[in-house]
Amino acid sequence: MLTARLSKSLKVRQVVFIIVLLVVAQLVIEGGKINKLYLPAPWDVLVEFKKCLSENILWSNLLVTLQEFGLGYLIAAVLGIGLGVVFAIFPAVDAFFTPFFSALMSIPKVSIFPLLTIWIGIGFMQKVVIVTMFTFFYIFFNTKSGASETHGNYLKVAKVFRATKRQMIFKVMLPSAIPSIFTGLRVTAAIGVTGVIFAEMQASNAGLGFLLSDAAALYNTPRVFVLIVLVTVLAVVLVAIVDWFERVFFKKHHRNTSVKSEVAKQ
Amino acid sequence: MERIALIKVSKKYSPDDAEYAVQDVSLTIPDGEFVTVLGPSGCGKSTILELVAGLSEPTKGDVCINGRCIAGPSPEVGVVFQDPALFPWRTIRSNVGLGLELHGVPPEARRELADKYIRMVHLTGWEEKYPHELSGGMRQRAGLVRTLVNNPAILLMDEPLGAVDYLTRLSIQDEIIAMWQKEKKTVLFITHDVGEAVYLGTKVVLMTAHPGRISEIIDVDFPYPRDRNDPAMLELVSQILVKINRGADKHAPQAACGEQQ
Ligand SMILES: Nc1ncnc2c1ncn2[C@@H]1O[C@H](COP(=O)(O)OP(=O)(O)OP(=O)(O)O)[C@@H](O)[C@H]1O
Ligand SMILES: [Mg+2]
Repeated sequence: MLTARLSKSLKVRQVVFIIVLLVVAQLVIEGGKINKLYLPAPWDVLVEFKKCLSENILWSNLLVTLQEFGLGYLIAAVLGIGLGVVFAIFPAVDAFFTPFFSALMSIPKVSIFPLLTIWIGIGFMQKVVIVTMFTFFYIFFNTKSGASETHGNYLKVAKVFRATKRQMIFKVMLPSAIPSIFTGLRVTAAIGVTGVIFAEMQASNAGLGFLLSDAAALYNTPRVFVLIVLVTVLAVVLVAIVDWFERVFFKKHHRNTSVKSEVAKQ
Repeated sequence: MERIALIKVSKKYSPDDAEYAVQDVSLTIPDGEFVTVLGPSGCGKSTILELVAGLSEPTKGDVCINGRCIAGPSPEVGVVFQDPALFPWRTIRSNVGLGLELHGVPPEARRELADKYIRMVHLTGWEEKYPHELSGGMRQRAGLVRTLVNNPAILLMDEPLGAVDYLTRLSIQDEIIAMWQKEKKTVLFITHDVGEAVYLGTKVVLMTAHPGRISEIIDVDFPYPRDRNDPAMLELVSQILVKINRGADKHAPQAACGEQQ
């Protein structure tokens, strides 16, 4: 394991490395060795970023993307967690439907895109549906496996206390599935961003994905770079928000999952 | 009245098993008895406990509580598991109050009762901690009172003090005796410790393994409160130890037995 000091000096060196890389890129591209149409100089990207800010196009489009993502993700989370728990409780439902869900999950979602266009057009809802499709299955399967793998001994304890089905779900299965649910939510925060950007790039008139394909169509490579950085930051921030949420509200569920009883023998 | 009755109970966990986990076990426990069970590891003690708890069904035979054959957990039965399985997302207090909470006892009363029992097992000061912050023995004590706090008429305990340190164990043994006498409970208590079985029980059930059977039921007639150093009781302990060892020999490899004869 690295000591704190070592890892700090490592970080410093990594930052230096990035700066050197940017400076070299700047010099090489400014020197005309690489066509600026393919690769903009870092400084040009910064200038373009300022231009975007002054044109006031980033915030409004970011907001559109966030709304599409947020609604789609919320639907996926509610459906995924809800159905995941239902499947975990009713083995018959699980046995019957899971193969179909697995099959649906394996469909490359992008291939459904044209169909969605025909069904619901290219508006806001289409992006929402895409995000839901991109994220639902991960949340669903993670919840289902988390809830159905509830430690048998926890269930025994609840059974001898004659917990109702409802109590079994809300006081035993859901809490014990929390870490697994959050694993699903974390992964899908990033996947959902991919989904919404993809959908916006295909057909839309707003959102970061729209700006991206628009900039590319105009060969505005500096702007393409600005947007790539932006959507990356967006994905990272969303994942961080999920992490934060889990840490603040479900701290105890998380840090204790590895507890095993020392006297467990069965 | 018979509180607990096992009638010719046999249990196989899977139809493919060659051998029963317990076979032909018959045991009746009248109201107010304190029955302790001794037997080698794997002889089916926990299996019997789960059958009486209504957590699993016998392959053959019947399990009855208060004269009725059961098909699931009964309200008058409390169970202390070998593995306390405290919920890791709940504090100790909230774990201990679990049964009360599930049955709608209001928070104030729950808290008061839980804290009273937590004190009984010397866990005061740990109420707000989470299970992973406690030692194995402490968790076991919390698991014990999670059941006791509900004051069940019938108590099933599976090595509840197995991981508890010696001195604490003695004090909790006495608490259990006091509670049993005061509340007139019926107890089925599984243990590995012969001294504990004799000190606590009105009867000691001896079991043998492969398949799990009851080999002998011994009455322990000493009046309570008992003296741990009572020579007659220590004598009984050593008699039981001899029986257990003889039982173990019976299961020694056949060849060795043949050569001896
Ligand atoms: N859930 C289970 N599935 C299959 N077999 C089991 C199960 N539980 C117990 N057994 C088997 O039944 C037999 C009796 O096990 P049991 O747990 O009742 O023993 P025990 O007397 O409680 O042992 P210990 O003193 O080690 O706790 C063992 O052979 C064990 O392998
Ligand atoms: Mg056992």
